[in-house]
Amino acid sequence: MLETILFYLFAATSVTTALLVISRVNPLMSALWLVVCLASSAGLFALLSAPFLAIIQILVYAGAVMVLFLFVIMLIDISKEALKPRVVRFAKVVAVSITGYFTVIVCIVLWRPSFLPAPLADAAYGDVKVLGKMLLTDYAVPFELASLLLLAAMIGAVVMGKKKL
Amino acid sequence: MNWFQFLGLTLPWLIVLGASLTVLFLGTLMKRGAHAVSMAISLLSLVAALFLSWQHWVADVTVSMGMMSFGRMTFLGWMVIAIASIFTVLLSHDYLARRKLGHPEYYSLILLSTVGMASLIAGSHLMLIFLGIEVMSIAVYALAGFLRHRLSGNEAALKYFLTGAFASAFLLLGIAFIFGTTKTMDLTVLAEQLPTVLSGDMASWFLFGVAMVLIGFAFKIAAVPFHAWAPDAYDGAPTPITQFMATAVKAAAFFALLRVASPLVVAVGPGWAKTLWLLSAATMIIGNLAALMQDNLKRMLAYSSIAHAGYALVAFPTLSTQTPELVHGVIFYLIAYTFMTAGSFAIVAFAQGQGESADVSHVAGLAKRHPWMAASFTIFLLSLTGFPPTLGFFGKYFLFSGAIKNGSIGLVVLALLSSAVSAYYYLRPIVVMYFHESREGVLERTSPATSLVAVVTIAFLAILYFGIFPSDLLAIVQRSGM
Repeated sequence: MLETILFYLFAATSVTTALLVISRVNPLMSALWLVVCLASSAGLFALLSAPFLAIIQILVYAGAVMVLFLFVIMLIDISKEALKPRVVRFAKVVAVSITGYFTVIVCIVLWRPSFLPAPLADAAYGDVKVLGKMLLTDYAVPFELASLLLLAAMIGAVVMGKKKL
Repeated sequence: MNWFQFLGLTLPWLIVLGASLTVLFLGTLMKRGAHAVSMAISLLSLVAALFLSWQHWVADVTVSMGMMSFGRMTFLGWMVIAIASIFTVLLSHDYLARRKLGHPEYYSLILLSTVGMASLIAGSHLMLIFLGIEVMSIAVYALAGFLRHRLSGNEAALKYFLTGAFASAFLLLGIAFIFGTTKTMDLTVLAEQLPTVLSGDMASWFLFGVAMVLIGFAFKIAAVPFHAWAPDAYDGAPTPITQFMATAVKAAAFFALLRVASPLVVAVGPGWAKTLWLLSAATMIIGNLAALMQDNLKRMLAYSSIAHAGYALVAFPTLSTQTPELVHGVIFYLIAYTFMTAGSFAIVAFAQGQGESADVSHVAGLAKRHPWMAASFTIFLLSLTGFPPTLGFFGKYFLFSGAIKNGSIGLVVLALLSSAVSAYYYLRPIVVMYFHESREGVLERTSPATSLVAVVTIAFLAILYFGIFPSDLLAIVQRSGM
């Protein structure tokens, strides 16, 4: 019972804050609402018995990534002009087509729920210890390769961004 | 899993990785001479990788471990990308020195990119294939924009990055759908499960995933209609990097596509064969027609590389595990294409001199001043067209005869017709070289750098030797198995 209540609480919060993210005029407010949105989806992960994912979501996304966002927003000087509400051309056409698309998707899902039901997770599922073991045994090669990926991205960013190489 | 064996098998690329990190540190330690040293280290590590891959090929180890499957085919792929990267490094030194851009980061990124390619070629698990593609591409995005003062260089990097990220998203979504429907990302397990999946009620979701993966790969090999990024990215990138993108990146993507396609795309059924048929036909026709209108040599070679991807795709509609001759045809073609394209870009880099323009008028009068360079360029272009007795002719011959044997006659006829069209734009630079007077100051009187001559010589000798004795190269390819 408690789980159901928590699920609706987190789900409602994340949907509401997601709407707030895209409707705020001030990007700073959008970013702050995004923090709340990410934190509440972390709650959803925790309910799905994935504690590691929930912690990472808060640490990395709500923490590190959002701080970076806020820094960038504060660093670039946003004028009052830029903060005026934007008017999208053909807004109605876009709105109607997006709504139509959404309706079709919902219909398909309700009509034919052909995805397999999620298998019951065993007790160790999402456990940090199990995950760590897997990352350094079965998945060691892709794990290391992912670190190379980050290194390549970092060198690339320096090459593109540094004033005097 | 035996880690020692794994490290032994991946040793060629561990060396390259080590060299990449060393070069990176050199940049902070050395102020003078860092360029020459980093070039030498990169070159040595790639030659070592080539040699060790060749040793593995001779030893003929076949084993799957750590989500990679090793075999002669893998080692052959490694050799191809090692050779292509050696060409890039050789071309780069002179090119960067002329522009005072000899930064160690450049070489480090090239080496990192080849490590990504190596895992892309060896990977037998979709996760590893994806990571390999990403390591390869991200390094090349940065390299494409290495001429930072040049507006079109920035444009190239940005366009390549955005479309590449888009393609990766498609690829990842496709992999997610395949994983969601089959609960595995291992290609061998996937091939075994294929009949059950296709007859089950998840078939349509699975097919959706396969389509997404195919789109992701089509972006990487620049197949029409996913080719629009290629000409701008090729034109704006430094010429050695353009050569890298056209040879190494494309070869690596094709090796991976061969591994993914034979269990996934083709076994799915005739509908997919038709899709690949259309992809191949559109790629050759549009690539060749667009190349006709180019005055810029780099753009011309970009469209020609699109067209050549179309030729290689001729083998794919009928590809399966029972058709080794098709796989060998594609690989022979890729090797031939690597040599002739690397050679052509070397000449383009020479003709460019200090400037960035690659207009066809830059080669005017080349025959008088540098007759050997002109002669080699002629051979490369004739080989790209497919004239005997060059390697390009036998590449097309083995590829198309294999395709005819497996029944894609219509596609081969289209390929032959469009390569007849291609003769027009390949012969044009030859005419300009031999019959046009050079404009004053367009072509310098400087002699080409030794490293550039080395690239041209190696490519020239390979094309002529294997053009006259194609069975030697074919034997290597055929003995690599599937």
